[in-house]
Amino acid sequence: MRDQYLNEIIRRGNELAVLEQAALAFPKKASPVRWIVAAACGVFVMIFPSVCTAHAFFQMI
Amino acid sequence: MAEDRELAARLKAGDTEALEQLITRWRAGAEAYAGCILHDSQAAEDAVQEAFARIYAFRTGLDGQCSFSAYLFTIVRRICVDELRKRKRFPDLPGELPEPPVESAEEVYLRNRERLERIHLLAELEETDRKLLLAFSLEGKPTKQIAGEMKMSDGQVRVRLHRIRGKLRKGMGRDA
Repeated sequence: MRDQYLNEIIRRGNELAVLEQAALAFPKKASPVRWIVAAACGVFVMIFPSVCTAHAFFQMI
Repeated sequence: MAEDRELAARLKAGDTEALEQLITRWRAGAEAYAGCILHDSQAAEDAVQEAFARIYAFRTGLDGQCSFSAYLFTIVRRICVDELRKRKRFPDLPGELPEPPVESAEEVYLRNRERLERIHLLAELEETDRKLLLAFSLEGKPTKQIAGEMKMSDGQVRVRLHRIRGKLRKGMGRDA
């Protein structure tokens, strides 16, 4: 029975398996929580040097 | 003659001889069941062939706790319902479909819901969407390159990818 019927099932099954791999590898959309965490990190990186500089300045005077 | 569970275990390992034996054993019964739902012998044959293909794609998820026939009939039923929906003869969820002549079919579906649902969704994707998904996600091509190859605009590619993501997320209940 290894005929066209079986070969077509295997071909289609393999096609679906590859598509499933692609679906699992589909880049995830960033969730709002990730955006908030990223923004918080960005703000921290921007502000931290200024705070350190101000602290050093006040220590000097 | 080998038991279904033994054949399913061999199929899980990629043995196509086992698949062949399972087809020989269950094809007629599954086609009869699909025929009861679809009332169309050609469509029933196509539905069963597609069901075997989806099981082949799902083979690594087969477990020894449920029978092969439970997987098969659950998937056949799903394909038949989708086919009826496409024909718009049965737009609502079925309430009076014949029950599969095997036990624990619902249990199978519930246990493997996410993966089976993903395979069903991917099987229903249009040809263009399938190519886009493969090119973008698996081959890692940028959208501009895909647009050039498929003779579409970059915007069209992005919109289609966004819709594919939405379909997968909606169907699979994951943060796709």
